[in-house]
Amino acid sequence: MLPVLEPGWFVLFHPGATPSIGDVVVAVHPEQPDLLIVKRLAENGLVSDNQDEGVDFENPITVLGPVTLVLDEPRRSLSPR
Amino acid sequence: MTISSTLLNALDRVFPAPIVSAHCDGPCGVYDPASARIAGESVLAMTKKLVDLGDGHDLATENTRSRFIAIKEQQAELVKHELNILWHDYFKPPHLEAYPELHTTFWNAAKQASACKTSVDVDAATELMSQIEAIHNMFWATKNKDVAWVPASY
Repeated sequence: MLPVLEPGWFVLFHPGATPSIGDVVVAVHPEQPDLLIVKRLAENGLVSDNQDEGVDFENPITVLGPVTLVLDEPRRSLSPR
Repeated sequence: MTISSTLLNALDRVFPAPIVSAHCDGPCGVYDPASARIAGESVLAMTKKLVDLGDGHDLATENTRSRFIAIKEQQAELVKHELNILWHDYFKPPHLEAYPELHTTFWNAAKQASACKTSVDVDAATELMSQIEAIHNMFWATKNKDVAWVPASY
C-alpha cells in the first residue's frame, strides 16, 4: 500500500465500523480466510494503491473495518496520493 | 529508529499484532485470452498447411512437414498452458457460481488441444478455436466488457 503505508508499519483499525468508499480498510483475503489484507475500498471491491505490485479484488469481500490511525506516523494522511 | 517505533516494537513483542498483507498474489494481474487465441490460430494455420502440403516424400517436403508438425505440437501445448493460467490464476470461486460450466469448458478446450496434436484435422483445429472463443466470451463477461472476438489470421 505504498505510498501511504510502508512495510512493517503498525496500524489501528476500527472493527465493525462502516468504512466509506476510498477508505483504507482491513479485510479478509477472498480465497485465504486466514490472511488479513489492507487495501483501499472501491465501489466494486478492493484496490491497491501500489498498482505496480499490488493486486485488486472484486466483490464479494469481507471488510472488517477502516484503518483509523498509522501508529508509526500518527499524523500521516491515508488519503490517496 | 524513533522512540515511538522502539516502543511499538517492544509492545508488539509482548502483545503481537496480527499482520495484514498488502500483496497477496503474483504481482502483475494481467490476463487476456488473446494469448490462447494466437496459439490456437497457429495450430489451425499449421494444420491447414500440413493438409495443403500433400503426401510428397522428397527430402524438402519431409523437412517442411516436420517443421509444420513441430510448430503445431508446440503451439497446441502453448494453448493448454495459456488456458491453465486463465483457469487457475484468473478465474475465482465467485466466477464459478456465475458460470457453472466453467470447469467443463476449460477441460473440453484442453482435450481439444490434445486432439489437435494427435491428428491433422482442420475441423478439430476449428473446433479448438470455437472453444477458445467461448472462454474469451466468459472471460470478458466477468469484467463486464464487450470485447469482440477478432482472429488475426482468418
